[in-house]
Amino acid sequence: MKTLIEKFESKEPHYPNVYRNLVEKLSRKKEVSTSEGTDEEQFERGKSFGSYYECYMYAAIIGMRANNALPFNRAEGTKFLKIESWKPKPLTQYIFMSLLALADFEFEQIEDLTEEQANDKANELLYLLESYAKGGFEIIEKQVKDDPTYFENTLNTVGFLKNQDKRIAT
Amino acid sequence: MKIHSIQLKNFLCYYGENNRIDFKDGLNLVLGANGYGKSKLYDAFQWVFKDGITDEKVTGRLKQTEQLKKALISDKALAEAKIGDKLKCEVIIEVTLAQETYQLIRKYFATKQSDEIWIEARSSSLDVYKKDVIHFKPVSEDFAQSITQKLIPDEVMPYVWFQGERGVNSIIDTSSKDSLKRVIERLSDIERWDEYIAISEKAAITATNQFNTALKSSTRNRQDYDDLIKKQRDAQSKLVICIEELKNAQKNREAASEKSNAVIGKLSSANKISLIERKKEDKIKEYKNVTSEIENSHLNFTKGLFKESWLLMDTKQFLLKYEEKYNRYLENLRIRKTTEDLASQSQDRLPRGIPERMHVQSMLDKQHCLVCDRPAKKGTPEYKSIEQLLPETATKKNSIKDIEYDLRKLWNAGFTMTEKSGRADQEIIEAIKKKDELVVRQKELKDEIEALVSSVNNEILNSGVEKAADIIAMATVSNQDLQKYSQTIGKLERDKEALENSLKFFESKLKSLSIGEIDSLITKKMELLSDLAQLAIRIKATEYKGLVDLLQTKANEHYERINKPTGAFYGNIKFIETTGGGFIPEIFDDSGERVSNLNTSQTSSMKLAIIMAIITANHKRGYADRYPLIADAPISDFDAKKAKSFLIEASNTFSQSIIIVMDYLIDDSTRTNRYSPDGKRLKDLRDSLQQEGKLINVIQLDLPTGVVSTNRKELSINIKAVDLI
Amino acid sequence: MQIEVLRTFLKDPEIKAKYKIDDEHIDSLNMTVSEPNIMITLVKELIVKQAEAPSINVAAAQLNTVLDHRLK
Repeated sequence: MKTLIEKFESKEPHYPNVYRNLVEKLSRKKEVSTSEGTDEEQFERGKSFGSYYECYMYAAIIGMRANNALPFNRAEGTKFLKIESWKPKPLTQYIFMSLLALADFEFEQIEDLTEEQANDKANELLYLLESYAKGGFEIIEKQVKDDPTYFENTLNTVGFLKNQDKRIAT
Repeated sequence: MKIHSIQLKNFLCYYGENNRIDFKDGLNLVLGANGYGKSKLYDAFQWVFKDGITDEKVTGRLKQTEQLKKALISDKALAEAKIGDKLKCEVIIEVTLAQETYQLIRKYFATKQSDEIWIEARSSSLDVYKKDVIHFKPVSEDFAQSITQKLIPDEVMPYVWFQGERGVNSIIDTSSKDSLKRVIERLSDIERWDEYIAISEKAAITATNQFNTALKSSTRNRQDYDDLIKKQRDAQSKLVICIEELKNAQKNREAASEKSNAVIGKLSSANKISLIERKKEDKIKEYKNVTSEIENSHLNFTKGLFKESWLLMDTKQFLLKYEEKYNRYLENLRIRKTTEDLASQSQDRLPRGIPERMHVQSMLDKQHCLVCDRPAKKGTPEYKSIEQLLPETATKKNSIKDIEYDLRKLWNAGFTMTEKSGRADQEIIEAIKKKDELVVRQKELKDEIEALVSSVNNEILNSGVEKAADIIAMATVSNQDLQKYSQTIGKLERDKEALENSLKFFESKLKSLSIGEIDSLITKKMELLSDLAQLAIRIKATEYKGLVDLLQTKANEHYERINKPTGAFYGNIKFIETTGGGFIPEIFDDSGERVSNLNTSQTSSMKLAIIMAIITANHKRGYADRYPLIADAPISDFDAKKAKSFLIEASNTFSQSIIIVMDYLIDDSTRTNRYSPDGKRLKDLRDSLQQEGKLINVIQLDLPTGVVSTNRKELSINIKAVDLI
Repeated sequence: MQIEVLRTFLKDPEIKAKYKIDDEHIDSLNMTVSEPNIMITLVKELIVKQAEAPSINVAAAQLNTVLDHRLK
């Protein structure tokens, strides 16, 4: 189990290239939010997210909640920050837990894994994450097409999350 | 002079030819709200008599036709003019002087040459006509030239024609001790006393010189004499220089005082404006803070997503799903462990004769059970069973490496997170509420700032004060100058007195040298003329003081009549003498204490009372009967009672008065944004005037329907006589 | 008018004392009748010359002449 978590966190997820513009529109270009720029500058740029990974976590949650996992080919994606560098840690852990819940295997299968086995399972979880994120991006992009400035209002960014379940229902 | 009528044709806001006001004996009250042409009516009088209108920028100064040109013409008339049109702006005033009736007509022309270009006349012209039985005929050029001076002399005009608080301030400047001195000098024959002094002093000097010449030729003590004469001459030349310096300093102070007067009327507006400006700055600062707080609150929303785990709100389903899997796992684990336990128990029940270690090891190597001849692949329960036969593992009860602990840890963390994100709704609501409050505050501040901006603009519009800070700075500088020159004057006056004393001393010394030496006629003459000069100086001072006392008494009479009906405290006016012969009017209460911090209503009524006193104290000259009072907005600081008592007092003082006010108007219930005369108050005023045997004539300045006073291209004025039945 | 000015001058207590002028005398004053009191004469002349003389210097010289004659 410990190995599985370690393996998972060492992964660098890929986001689909088709959503590159969307990701750039919603987040700052620097991968590490703390590396430079004040919060005020960030706001001035009208971006909802301080970094790509924040945007990615947001998309993943949207995808997971909409149960919208889309097949994703890594070759059509771009990697970014390693999961172990994502913050805050408890959020990453929760996503990991959720992926375990959503994964197509029982917990017996992650008992007593060899290094190699752990890596395979980590990849499986990573793929699941990437599929949900892709699904999330699809939903987000639809919203942006309807209202291009929607996510410039940060309250909408929060509100969009709130209304997510309703959105799926309709 | 009596004024019969005024006609205004395309003059400023008085568009068209049809603007005529007929005036009567007694009180003519002209009512007009702000922007309804009040001051422009006053300007019309100034234009005819002085060829200029009030300069909004410099108190007490006129802007002449040469500077104004087509700005004198109605904007509406200008806007309507076609190319080639020659526009005439004209004001006609009809007056009577010594039983003769005259028409004074001032005209100005401008021609529209193209859309942009106007040919403007360089100056205006004044034509004067005299009524000959029924027709008006032109008077001689010389007469026309001098008529305005005959009708109202320059030295009288400022006291009978004045405009609002600013006008009053420039006549009676309570901060300048020379202000009343100037009034007395201009309006009395006190200057004759200066001539008595000059003649007698000159005569005394002639006698003194005669005496000195005689002494020089006869003196016994040559040395003492030469010495004294030298000292005397020295003192004399020093005195000449001192007097010259004193004159210069007085001129400087005069100039500073004029400068100060020019701004003093604007000072209260300037202070008001700068106060509002400061308030505005504060509000703008707060607005900026609120705006940046709102910006931050936007930021806080996205921060909240991650730092406050709002991202995970409504995701408990995942935790539940995990919990399901976890429980399933626990259940299976339990079964697996039980099975294993059973297996190990049955193992215990195997015959004692278990295979040797080497055989067991061989079975494990081959992954085949040789006892029952079945395959036992590594990792399978069969293999594990064989493994247990090894002596070192035989004691090991449980072979399952479960991950229950790690899974539970994950669940616990997940549970905490869902609890935390469950509070997201409340937190978001609070954040939104806080933001909404900020947005409301922002809107409030924006409105407040706009209101402040518009009140600054209004104040600027009403007062003509564009750069409040400059005015305040100018007032400060000219007051400093005033103080500086006053100090210089004080010092020079002391020097002068000292020099005069030494001269007296030298004179008496010389006189003592002369005893028995000089013809007594010369000595006697010198003494007589010197006494005469001293007498003239003393009498002038007494006379001057008498005039001041008279002015003070008269001022108090007017002041009391204006203020008494209000019931509020008013005290009495005293002219306080200052060094250098000036006077400053101040208010004292009944116990003789000086009242500081007068309100504007008290100050205004004090000044108006002094102005009336200047007129009435000179009763011998009959100013009040000879010159009509024309005042624009003199009572804007007064309440209703005081306004009434002022109007009655003015009627009692002047045989004719034209008083332009924004008072005595009420909202017109039949028209929007229009006013109608306050019939009730006007009738009350009329009745009170009737008791005093005085008449009232009321005129209203109105705007035509649909016209907005700020749109000057549409502006015209309706003049209405108000019937008080 | 001039007589009033003269009376105004003669209100001065200092001059009244020094030149022995009493109120009765002041009341009986007349601008045209010649005057025994030299100070009163002088003041009268001052008032007349101020009104008539073409300049201050001329008026001053005339005052000196008046005294020259009176004091001889």
